[in-house]
Amino acid sequence: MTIGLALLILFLLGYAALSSAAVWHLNVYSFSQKANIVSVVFIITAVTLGLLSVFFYMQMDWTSALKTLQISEPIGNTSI
Amino acid sequence: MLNLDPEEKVLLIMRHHWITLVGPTFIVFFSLIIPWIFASISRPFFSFAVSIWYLITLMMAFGFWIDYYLDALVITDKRILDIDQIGLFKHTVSEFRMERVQDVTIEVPNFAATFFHYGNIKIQTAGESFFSITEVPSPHIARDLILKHAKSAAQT
Repeated sequence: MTIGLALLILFLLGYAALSSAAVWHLNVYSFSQKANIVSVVFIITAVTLGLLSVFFYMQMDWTSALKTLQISEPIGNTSI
Repeated sequence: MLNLDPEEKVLLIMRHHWITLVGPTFIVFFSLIIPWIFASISRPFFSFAVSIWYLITLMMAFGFWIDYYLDALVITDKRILDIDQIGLFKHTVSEFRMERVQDVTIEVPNFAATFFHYGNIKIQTAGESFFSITEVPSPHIARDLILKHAKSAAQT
């Protein structure tokens, strides 16, 4: 769970860096107020989804989730 | 950020017609719908996966919008600025003086362009370089504006 959480935080940090760069680029080259509005909506939506992803991650029982992904052995060998 | 001269006035800013956003809108829409095909997966895992998927979709939609919004032809009373946004970060601005305009060509390429009133504009300068922007609404308005100001700029 610790490694998974670290990977998730790494992903979210990378996402935040890319988003910040995109928003900064937009606001440097924009020439109307619409860009500010869209930037704010984007940031709010991204932060909400990021927090939700962390929340749902913490809700998961990873032990049982990983067990269901394991392939079970065949019950018996039947020869004809 | 246009860096205009103090007495320079912006006459028209032309962006692509809204029809250019139809394709990207469908892509984003299907990206939002696709995860629900797997809704039968256990709830917390599904919710986690959907939130990550929607983060990626959000970035993709934002990229489409930046590409649309920052791609423009700006016509002032002194210059024409051709602004090209390619992808998320590549941004080029070309400009030329109004008095160097030699020829303005508009093209309505197909039935959809006629029906939705959009077309392509190609502007040729005295140095035989040309600038163009595709799929803009009512290109004849820009043509008339450019030719009018090019003529008056050449006379002064």
